[in-house]
Amino acid sequence: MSELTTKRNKYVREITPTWWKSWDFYRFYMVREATAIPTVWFCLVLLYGVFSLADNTFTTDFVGFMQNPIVMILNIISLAAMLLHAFTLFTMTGEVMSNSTGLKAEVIKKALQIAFAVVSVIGLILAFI
Amino acid sequence: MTNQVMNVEILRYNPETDKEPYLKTYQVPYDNQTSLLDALGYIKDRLEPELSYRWSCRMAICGSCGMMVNNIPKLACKTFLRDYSGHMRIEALANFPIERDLVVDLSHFIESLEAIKPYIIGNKMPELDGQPHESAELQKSRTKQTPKQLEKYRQFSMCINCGLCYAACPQFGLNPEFIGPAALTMAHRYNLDNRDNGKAERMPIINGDNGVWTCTFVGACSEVCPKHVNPAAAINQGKLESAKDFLISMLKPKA
Repeated sequence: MSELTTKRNKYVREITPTWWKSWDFYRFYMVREATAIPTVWFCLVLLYGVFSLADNTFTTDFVGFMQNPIVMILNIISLAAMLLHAFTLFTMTGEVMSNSTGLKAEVIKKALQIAFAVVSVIGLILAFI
Repeated sequence: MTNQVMNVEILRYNPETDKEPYLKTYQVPYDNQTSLLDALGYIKDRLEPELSYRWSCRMAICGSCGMMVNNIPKLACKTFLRDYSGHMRIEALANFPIERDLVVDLSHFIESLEAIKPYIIGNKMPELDGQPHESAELQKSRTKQTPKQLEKYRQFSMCINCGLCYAACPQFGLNPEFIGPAALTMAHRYNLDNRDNGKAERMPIINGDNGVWTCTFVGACSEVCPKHVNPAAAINQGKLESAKDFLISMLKPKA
């Protein structure tokens, strides 16, 4: 009597929580994803600012809070994280949109960078006048 | 350049005898023309006749010889020993079950590829009647494709189904049901083809739980693709299409 048997015995490798350490490309991805954390911090700062505007404690409490050296360091980290996120987003947008728009990836990236710079400068001018 | 020796460490697994895979090192002489596929051939011919691996064309077009080289998915035929210093660790393609040694089970990828219907559907081209016609008349009756229309999807049609993008994709590693980079790229490639009318049949899979929204744009698929297909671009354009599809379905009155 013949019986159909199989010697197959597939081995499935488990994914460990440290999978991203195996390649620099993944590490950079995790850094980019982690920029969400400083963004949460800055959102809370902004929220505090809005509440202190409502309470009329903006000049008494909020400005002092913003002048705290620890807060300033955290905000500088947030700015750096936001810039990293924005600039890598521009590169990725260029890569994604280049063939559907017919533009070169580099052109889209540069256009977004220029737009970002222009909006930032206008924002800074508005803040200081 | 001859007579240099590379220590090639290979992840071995025999489904009949081994509980789990183990690493074994082989010494392979090489020169500046030796590819990893040549090295595997040397090992199989001289050192380890039992070593199993897939290969065919040895010129980066059949897509058979995908494997992990120092944790990064590569085609063995397109990887050269001269680019590594003294040591290489070769493993079966990540994220796929190992059948034996460097051979993996690609069924999920093949099934996903079938599921998205990677062929032109409903081309409205009438049959030729075998009679000569004016070219102006033919142009009207044939489904034309301009170079510009071709260019929309040409890059995405270069896929050789090697599976490197699946091995690079951590989202596929974490969710084995994910349709995956190459299959979603093929779906997008046919949706972009002006001769195709099958988009409505593909969108439910693209929109679904294991479709484009599983992707978090790690971008590793595009990084490892040996044919520069850029699956990350296709999938993220697919997200745009999926969002449009959702909005249109919201606005349409329910039947």
